[in-house]
Amino acid sequence: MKSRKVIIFIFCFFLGLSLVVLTKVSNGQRLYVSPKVLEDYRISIEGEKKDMENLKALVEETENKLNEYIRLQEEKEDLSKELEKQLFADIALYSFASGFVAAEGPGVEILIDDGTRDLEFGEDPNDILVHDSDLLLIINELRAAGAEMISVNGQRIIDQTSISCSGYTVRINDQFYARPFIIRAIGDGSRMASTLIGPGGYGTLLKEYGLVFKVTIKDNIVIPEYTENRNFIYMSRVTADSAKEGEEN
Amino acid sequence: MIVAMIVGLVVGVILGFSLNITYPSEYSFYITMALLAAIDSLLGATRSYMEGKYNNAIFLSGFFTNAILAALLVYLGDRLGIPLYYATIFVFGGRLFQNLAMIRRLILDKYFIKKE
Repeated sequence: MKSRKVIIFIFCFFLGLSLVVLTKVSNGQRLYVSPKVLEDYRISIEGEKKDMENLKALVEETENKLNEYIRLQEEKEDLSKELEKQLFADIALYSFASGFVAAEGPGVEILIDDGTRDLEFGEDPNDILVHDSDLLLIINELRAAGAEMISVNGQRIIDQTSISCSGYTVRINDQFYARPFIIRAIGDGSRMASTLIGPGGYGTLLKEYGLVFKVTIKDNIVIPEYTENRNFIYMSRVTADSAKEGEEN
Repeated sequence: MIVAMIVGLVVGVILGFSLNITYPSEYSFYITMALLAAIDSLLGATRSYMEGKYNNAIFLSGFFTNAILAALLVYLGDRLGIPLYYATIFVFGGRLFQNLAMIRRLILDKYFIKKE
């Protein structure tokens, strides 16, 4: 009889205790966490950790560079030559990346031309013509497939390039071009080609419409430099005390 | 016995409010299931006590096997992606009401109906 009461007491004690603890922890919210959610969190945490490592490596690299400069200065060595070399290397890199130097490398050559099939009754002839939007989509697909440099009919595609329709011609970098269009891209040739002419690729779609679309993978493609002027009229450099608009989004 | 039950609950609730105990939230579902099993066992014990058939061994073993099965079902459901814990909730919930009905009948029999 005595042991009964003791056991029931202990049991009830723990029941009441855990009920209250559970209510206090959950606060009426759902606390159930499934393993899938935990796994998702684990993956994103790992990704963040990797990012942090990369940033740390970057900081370390920059600090090393800084220390190197300080050391050179302390040893009263002639810094100008070293810095000059560094600056020229930077200029070469940036002019290469911004499109002011011709580039070469393996890639693909794409020929797009208007279709030659007969129109069906009542069909819009626009269906078998090459449009500016076709070129834009193909350029986007190429970039998505890892293209490093792209040109259309010898016009280098840079960050400020526009491609717009002007009647039967297409305006690229303020120059007018008519059919056929030849797009050259430097990058992983087989990847870019398969992106375009694979099932569901944009090239396949154009071919189904009756346009001419030919992709050739080439070992050496030369893409000329950007020849137009680049003037910045409205843009100016941001200084430290400028208002930081849009930083929150 | 009933007094021990009520005193135990009250002491547990008071301690739970006064102490600052937490547990990792991953286990909250398991604890909920264990609590359900505990409430079920407690009502079952009350009922059997009122029927005069109460046994310590049956009570304790019943609680532990029920709690372990409930936890296993929750775990298995998590692994399989099927909410198997519904089985636990329905069975224990159903039994809660069943036991409560029995207790109510016993109380009515004991204190009210006989007096008439």
